[in-house]
Amino acid sequence: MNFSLTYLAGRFAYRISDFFHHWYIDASKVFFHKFISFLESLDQAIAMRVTLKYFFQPLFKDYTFIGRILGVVFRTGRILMGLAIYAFILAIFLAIYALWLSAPVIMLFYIFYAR
Amino acid sequence: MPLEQNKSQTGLSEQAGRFYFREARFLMTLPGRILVRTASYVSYIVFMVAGFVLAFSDISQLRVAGIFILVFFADMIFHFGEGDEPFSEMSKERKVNLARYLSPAAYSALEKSFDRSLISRNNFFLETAKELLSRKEIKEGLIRLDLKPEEVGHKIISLMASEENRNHFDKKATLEMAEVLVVNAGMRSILNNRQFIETVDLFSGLLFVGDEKTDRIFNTFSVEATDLELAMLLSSLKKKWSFSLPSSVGGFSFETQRELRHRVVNRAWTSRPTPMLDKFSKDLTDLARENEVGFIIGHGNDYQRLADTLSRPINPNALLVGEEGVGKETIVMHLARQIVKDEVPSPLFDKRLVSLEIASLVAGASSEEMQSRLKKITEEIFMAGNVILYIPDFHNLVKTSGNYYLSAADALMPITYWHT
Repeated sequence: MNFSLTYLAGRFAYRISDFFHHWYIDASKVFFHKFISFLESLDQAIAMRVTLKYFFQPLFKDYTFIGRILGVVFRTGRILMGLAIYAFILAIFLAIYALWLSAPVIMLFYIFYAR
Repeated sequence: MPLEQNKSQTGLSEQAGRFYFREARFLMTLPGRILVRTASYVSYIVFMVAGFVLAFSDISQLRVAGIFILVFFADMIFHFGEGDEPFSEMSKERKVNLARYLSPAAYSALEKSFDRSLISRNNFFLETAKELLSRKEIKEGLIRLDLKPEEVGHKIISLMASEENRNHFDKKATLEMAEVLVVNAGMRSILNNRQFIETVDLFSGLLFVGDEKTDRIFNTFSVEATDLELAMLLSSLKKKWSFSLPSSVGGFSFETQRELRHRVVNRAWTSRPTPMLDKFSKDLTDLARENEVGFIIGHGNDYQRLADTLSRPINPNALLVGEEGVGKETIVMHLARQIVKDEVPSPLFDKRLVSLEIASLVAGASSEEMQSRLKKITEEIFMAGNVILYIPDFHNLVKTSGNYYLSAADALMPITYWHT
């Protein structure tokens, strides 16, 4: 009987620790993995890496002087827009992540210490 | 035997000594185990009801406590069906208790077999085989092997019923048998890159426990270890990944209903549109982007050779030769998928892989019309500069020739000389 009760107490402690393990360690991995995957899928459209690589290439094989100038202009605009979008997404991600990390702490603090 | 090769490659045979199975519940008496199970269920119900009641309380602190309890249960539901710890978090050096890696379904099957074996004094492995046979995924796996689960069940029952095969094991011996099975199942699970020991691993593990009676079941039905393992693997894949594998993997996922989005110009904005080519071709990179094609099993070396050949600066042309159905097109589709994922050598980066549809190219066209189409397509490919042209059934291209005009093969020849 004592053995069963000890086992139950151990499982209860495990369940609590498992919850926090899921919340902080597993969820952090999922968060960062999703964030990187999202940036990668976004790069399929924004194409920052590719744009930088082909920065001085003219658009659509227009090798005229105007074509080359327009290439640099449009690619600069594309990079600036991409940076703005990435910065915005990073800010949203960090805000959600901070909220996620602090949620259990805030809840527990509120339950035990709020007046 | 490939399985043995796998085992030695992964170094698992050396690691097997690190694994053991020790589960406190199996050491308890039956009443003790019933007490644990009842107490667990009652406490879950009490906490859940408390969570709901508190969540609607007027006192804000109690309301937050209720929400916290409900979040706790939501986490448990989210991780339903998982063991205590995934293999990805397994220690690389210390001794490993595989009880922590058992999925609840596998644990329940083991526990039931253990109890039955102790009560009936039957062979634990046979009891486990009988118990597992009632599981849907095991039945599906056996059906994949062209076996009737009922017949296998009858064989197990007949072996258990025969007096000569009835053993009288005590609890210690049964525990040892459980350990042998779990260690074997755990190794199968690790070899198959699973996170937890599933019921299919227990069933596959039965083949490796070295028990005469258990072996007799598999020998009766001429079941090979690798076949059984593959069938169980497919059965568990179907159960778990039916929504996320490419639809080209027949029988595993549903067709995509969305309209295919065609990307006219490459991401670098360096190419040009190819309207004529688009009319008589299928863009495989578009399909890969929509997860329609590209899943491959094996053919790793063939794919690598193709990618290397297409990446070389001089004469980047490849001819895939082989019987119908050996997987030539699958390799090409996989290349499309890798291009989309940007996991190709730099010369293939940001390219389009386009499959020419010869039937529609020659359909209803006079010789002049066909030549004009081919000329236009060739020009477009040159201008775009980012097209990898795939011509399926290349031998049919030569059949488009006539007496007084060039064949399609001749017309497309300049493309093959482009880089030479």
